[in-house]
Amino acid sequence: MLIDWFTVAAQVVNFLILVWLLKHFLYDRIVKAIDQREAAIATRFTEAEAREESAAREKRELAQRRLELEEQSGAMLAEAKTQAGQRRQELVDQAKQEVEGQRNNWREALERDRQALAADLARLAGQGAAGMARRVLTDLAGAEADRQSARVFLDKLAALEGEERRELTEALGQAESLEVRAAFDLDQEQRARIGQALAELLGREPDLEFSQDPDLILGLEIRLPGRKLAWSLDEYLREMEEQLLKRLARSLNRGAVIGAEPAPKAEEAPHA
Amino acid sequence: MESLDLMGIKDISPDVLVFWSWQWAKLNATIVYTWITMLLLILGSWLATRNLQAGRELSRWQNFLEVIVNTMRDQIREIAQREAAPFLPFVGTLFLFIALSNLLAIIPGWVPPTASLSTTAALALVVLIGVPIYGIQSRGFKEYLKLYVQPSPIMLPMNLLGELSRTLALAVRLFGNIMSGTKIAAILLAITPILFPVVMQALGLLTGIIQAYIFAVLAMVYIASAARIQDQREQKAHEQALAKGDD
Repeated sequence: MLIDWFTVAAQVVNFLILVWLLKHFLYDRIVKAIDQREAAIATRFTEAEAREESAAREKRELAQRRLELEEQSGAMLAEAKTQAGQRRQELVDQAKQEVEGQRNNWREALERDRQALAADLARLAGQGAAGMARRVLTDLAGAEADRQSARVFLDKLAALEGEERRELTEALGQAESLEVRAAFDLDQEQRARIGQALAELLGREPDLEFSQDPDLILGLEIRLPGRKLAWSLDEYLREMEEQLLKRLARSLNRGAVIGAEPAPKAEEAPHA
Repeated sequence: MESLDLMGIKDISPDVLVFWSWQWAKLNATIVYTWITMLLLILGSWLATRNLQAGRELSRWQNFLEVIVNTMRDQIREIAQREAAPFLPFVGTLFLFIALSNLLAIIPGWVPPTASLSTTAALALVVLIGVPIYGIQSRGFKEYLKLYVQPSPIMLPMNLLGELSRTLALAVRLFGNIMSGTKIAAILLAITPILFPVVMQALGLLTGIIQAYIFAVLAMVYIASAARIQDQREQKAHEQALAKGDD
C-alpha cells in the first residue's frame, strides 16, 4: 500500500500549519512591504510630476518675464537713445546759439567801435575842412563883403516866389518880433532896407531886433521860433560840413556788414 | 549514496522508513523531511522578513523573496483574472513547499517528501477541499452546488468524477515524477557513477520546479474556475438588470 493514511492526515495538518505560518511570516509582510514601496514610488512619481509641472510653469513664467524685461530694456534703451539724441541736439543748438550770440555781440561791438572810429574820423575831417574854409573866408571878409552880403540877402528875399514865399510869409506873419543877426554891425540904411523888405513881404511893419554875431563870418540871418531865414557864410560852411559828413558816412556804410545810421546828426537847416 | 542507505532501492515510498511509532501513530521519513522543509521555509521567511524595508534599500533576501512572491502574485492574477490576495497563501505555499522539497533532492541523503504518495495525496486532498471552500466563500453554498449540475443535472456524476479524477491525477503526477526522478538518479548512479547522474540530477531539479509549478497552477485553475463561473453569472445578472432598467 503506497498510501499511509496516517501520514496523509499528518501531511494535511502539516501543510495547513505551513500555510498559516507562511501567511504570517512571508506573504503578509512581503506584500505589505511591496505595497508600501509601490505607494511610496507612486507618491514620489506624483511629487516628481508635480515638481516637474511647477518647474515647467516657473520656467514659462521666467521666460515670459525675461521676454518682458528684454522688451522693457529695449524700449528703455530706445527711449534713452532718443532722449540723449534730443538732449545732444538741444545742447548743440544751445551752444550754437551762445556762440552765435557771442559772435553777434562781438561783431556788433566791433561794428560799433568801427563806426565810432569812422564817425570820429569823418567828423574830424569834415570839421577840419570846414574850419579851414571858415578861416580862409574870415580872413577875406571885409566891409565890402559885408555890404555885399546884405545886398545878396535882400535880393534873395525879394527873389522868393510862389510856395516858398507863401510859407515864409506865413512863418513870419505868426511871429511878433523878429531877430536879425548879422556878422557885422548893420548901419541904419541897411537896417531900414531890411525892415522895408520885410514889410513888403508881410504887408505890415514888423518889430525888429538887430544883433551882431561874428560866428556868421559873413552874411546875416533872421531867426524865428523853430525856423530861420539866413544867408551867411556860416550857413554855407555848415551845409558844406553836413554834406561832407553825409558823404563820408555813406561811403563808410557801404562797406559795413551791419547797416547803421550815420553817427553825426546834421543840423536841419534849409537855406534861403 | 546516503539515500540508498536510508531507503532501499526497492522502497517506493519513504513512508516505510519509520523512525518511531506508538500504537497507530508513527514518525516516518516523509513526516520528518516535511518538517525539515517547513522549518527551512519558515526560518528563511522569518529571517528575511523580520527587518523589512519599505524604502529604497533592500536586503538580498528580501529582494529575493519579493521577486518570488511578486511573480506568484502576477501568475495568480493572470489565471484568476482578479486580485491575488485571497489565493496567495494557499497556492503560494503549495508551490514553495513542493519546489523546496524537490530542489533539496540535490542534497545527498535527502528524501523528498513529495516522493511519497501520502504527501501528494494529502496535497491533492487539500486542493480537493480547498476548491469548494473558495467556491462557497465567494459564491455561496447553493450557487456553488449548482456548478455540479451544469450544464444539466445529468452531468452531476461526470462532474463529481471529474473532481475526483483530477485530484487523483494531481497526486499521482507529482508522486510519479519525483519518485521516479530520485529512483532513476539512484539507479544511474549505480550504473554510470561519474558524469551522467549529474546531468540527470540537473534534469531532476528542472522537473522538480516544473512539477511544483504545474501543481500550483492546476490548483489555481481549479479554484479560479469555480470563482470565474460566479463572475460570469454576476455579469449576466448585471446585464439583465441593466436591460430591465432600460425598459
